[in-house]
Amino acid sequence: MIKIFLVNTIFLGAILTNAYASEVANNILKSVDKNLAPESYEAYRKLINEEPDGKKKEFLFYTIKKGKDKIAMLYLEPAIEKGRATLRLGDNMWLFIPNVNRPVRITSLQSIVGGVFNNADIMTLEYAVEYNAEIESSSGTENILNLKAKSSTVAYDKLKMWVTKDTNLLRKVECYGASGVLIKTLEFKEDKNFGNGLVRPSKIETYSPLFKGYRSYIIYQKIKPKKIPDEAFTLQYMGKLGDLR
Amino acid sequence: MRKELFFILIFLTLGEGVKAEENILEKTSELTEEAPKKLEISGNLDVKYIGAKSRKSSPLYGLMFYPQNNLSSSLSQTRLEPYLNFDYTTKDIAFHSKNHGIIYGETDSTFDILELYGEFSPNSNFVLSAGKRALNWGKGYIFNPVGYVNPVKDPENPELIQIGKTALMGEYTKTFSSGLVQVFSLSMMSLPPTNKANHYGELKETNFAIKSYFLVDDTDIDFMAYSSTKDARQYGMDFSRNIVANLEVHGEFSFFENASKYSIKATTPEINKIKGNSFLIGGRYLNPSNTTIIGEFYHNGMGLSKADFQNYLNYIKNLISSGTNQAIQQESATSKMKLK
Repeated sequence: MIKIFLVNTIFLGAILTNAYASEVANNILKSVDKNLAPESYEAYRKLINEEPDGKKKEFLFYTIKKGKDKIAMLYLEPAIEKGRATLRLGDNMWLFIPNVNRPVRITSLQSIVGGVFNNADIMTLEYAVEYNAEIESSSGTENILNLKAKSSTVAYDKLKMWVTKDTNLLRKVECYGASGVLIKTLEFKEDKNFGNGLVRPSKIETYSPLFKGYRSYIIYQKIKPKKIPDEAFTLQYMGKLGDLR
Repeated sequence: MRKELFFILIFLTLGEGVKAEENILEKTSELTEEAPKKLEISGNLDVKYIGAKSRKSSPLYGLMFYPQNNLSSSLSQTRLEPYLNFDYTTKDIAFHSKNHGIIYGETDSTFDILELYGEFSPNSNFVLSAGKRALNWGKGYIFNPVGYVNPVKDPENPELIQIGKTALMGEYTKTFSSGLVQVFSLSMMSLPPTNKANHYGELKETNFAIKSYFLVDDTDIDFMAYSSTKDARQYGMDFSRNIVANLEVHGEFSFFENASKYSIKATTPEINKIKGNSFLIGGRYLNPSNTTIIGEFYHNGMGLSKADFQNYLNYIKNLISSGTNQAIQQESATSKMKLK
């Protein structure tokens, strides 16, 4: 009887410890999300694709985001791409091309701008919305989290994330496919004060073993809290995103 | 039948606008503030070279190049296609104009207004528009059985914008933060009669179209209908959904009645009014090497059967060998519509 009680107690203790560790990890993840951007904001971002021979292609995006699962992006440069828009609502993504006059569904793994970034990288939602976290290890200055996708429509099955211990700022993310293959690495650099209490990395650099010699960068030039109506995140509004600027 | 072997497109960006955009990073206008007035002028020039290898024995070749039947089977074409767009946008009013030309030579060119419309949007939920618009209903890439108000696509480049239709349209959009439906939108439009005399049409022949859109459980669903006293009456639905991170599926289903079907009975063309259905199912797959593959199956209930098409080819053949010049040229001008 005592034996059974002890086994049950140990078993229950293990479950509770696990649940607590998982809660701590997910709280760190929520804090990481909070430190990356305000709940509702507009941003100007530059994306640069660099090829092995040194050729560069640059894009400038106007981005709006609201809540945990809404983000939309308007192409401002180059001129030939101007007016294109992308929208993400949770796992759903669409691309609007002015001359086609119709949003078409795209998938998170596609890359509408070429380079190493795919659509999910450019239109990132809050990590806590798409992933469950666990703490893998903890060093003097950083926590390393393992993230597992909540659904099959998420671009990467697993993430390994490096987060600063004192400020919960993102430093590095490794993205893995369902087979366990490393797809790409994202490095978060150059912390910058964007005002309104927001201090975050301003430059994201990515490279992939699948695209040797290619590198892509996202540079945040401005992030500002903004009140945005929900209807701005609909297919019907994609052709008019520029009106919000 | 003409087969186009290849074409080369060269895009030259002419202009990117004269709007006040000196330093976009310094712009801080709030949504609630009066947005600055914006005029944008943009455009591009397509230079196209087309090489065509044709089967000269085809009746359609004879019709297309009548009366120049001494041409060879290998032909080429060079043309310039300038596009010039004007967009004027204020906080709640906008005007848009898209214009297109085709220049084959100094004395042979055409000019089309693809779109010319104004919009009034008092808030983010409602838009009222009037004018000529190239709407694009449906989810299919090349064919759209539910594209009741769409312009006819260019088979060489189905995504290219075409000449729009004149309409008065109202659109209402509402989002929901909880429940099964995430987004709902309703569009209603009226289109002028297609038959006109001295620029006037019968009021009772005004056409109406309606489309409702739902984002339900991560699936796009549209229901649409087109009402007309002269043209086909049609109603249908479409859907699109991402199944996994690299696969999308879509479909369109349409039912119609009072549709015109052109066919040849004995040796005479005739038009029959029919009812039936059309549908399309398709998918878009992204493979590991980042290539997107689109596959679609299309059934056109208004189309010609194999026997109908053979009768039509025989009719063309007879027309070219024994018809009058006027009859042949008339057939040439309308053959595209009959083959639709």
